[in-house]
Amino acid sequence: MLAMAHSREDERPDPALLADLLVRASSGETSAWRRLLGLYARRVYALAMSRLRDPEAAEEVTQSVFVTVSTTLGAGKYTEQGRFESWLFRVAANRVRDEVRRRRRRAGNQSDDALRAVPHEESVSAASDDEIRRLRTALDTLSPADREVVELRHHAGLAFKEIAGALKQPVGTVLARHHRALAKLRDAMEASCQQDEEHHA
Amino acid sequence: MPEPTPDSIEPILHRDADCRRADATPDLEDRIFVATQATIGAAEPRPSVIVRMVRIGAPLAAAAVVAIVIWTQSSSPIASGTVDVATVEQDIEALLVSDDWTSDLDEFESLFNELDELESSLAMDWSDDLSLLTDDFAYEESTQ
Repeated sequence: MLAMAHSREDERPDPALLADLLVRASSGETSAWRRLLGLYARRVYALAMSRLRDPEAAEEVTQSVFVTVSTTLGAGKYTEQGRFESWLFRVAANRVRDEVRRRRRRAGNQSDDALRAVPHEESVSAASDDEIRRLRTALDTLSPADREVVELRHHAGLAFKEIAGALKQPVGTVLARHHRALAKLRDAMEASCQQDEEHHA
Repeated sequence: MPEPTPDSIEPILHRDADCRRADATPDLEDRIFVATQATIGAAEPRPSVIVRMVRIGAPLAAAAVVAIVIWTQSSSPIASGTVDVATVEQDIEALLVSDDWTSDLDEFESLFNELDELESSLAMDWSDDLSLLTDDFAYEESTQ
């Protein structure tokens, strides 16, 4: 069940279908819960993996998020009002932030640069893709707030309205932050290209 | 490689997202399903414990039961119980850090017995969970 290359818009379920799945999952219907996992598990995983770059930690965060969702749905504490994705990814973003903080505490006095110097787990396909390697390095140069918007938009596949809901920020703020973040990414990737060209010259 | 333009950044981000998603273990959804089902089986879920146990391949019922054990450690009745909670906790930790879960069946059986005692001392009815765990033991032992 791999989410392959396509527009981010294509992966959003029909609102009526989602509402139906949530009602059925809340009543304990396992097929509905499995369908929800199929729709969202890898999107949450990609969000966690982009920030944490540790497959085990990303999976642990993903499982933890869905345990929370399952518990909340099962307890009848969630009522769908068209905000499920915002809620789900707010939980996910908070969990990722918690994990980043936990790692910082563990790392003690290490600087951010030292933390970033830890070798990353990269897929074979990504490792052979220069653009993706440059992008991942460029993501490290963004502020946490800018990076979160970019990752919620592209790795989690959220619409701007849902990102605004997840972060509890106005849509205009999210749009502006996203635009600025892409410009910063572009600049960082350009600088990386130039450095490589000078190195090879 | 051509320098990126603003329009070219988003497709790269999409490719990166697709790589991230594809890099997840193939049975990611199944593992999450098991973790969440284990939570439902526990009276008072301790998600982090269940998640860790499922990740290292513990049987569903075992994860649920250990979650219950962890929960009972924080409830007030245990203070007057006959079970040495510290010992139970150490056993759980030993199992959690074990590389080979199935080799620890004897240890887990011991934990199971302690749990049985714990159940009696707290007058709780975990019989469904305990019978599930017993079934898991029988299955594991018959396949070894």
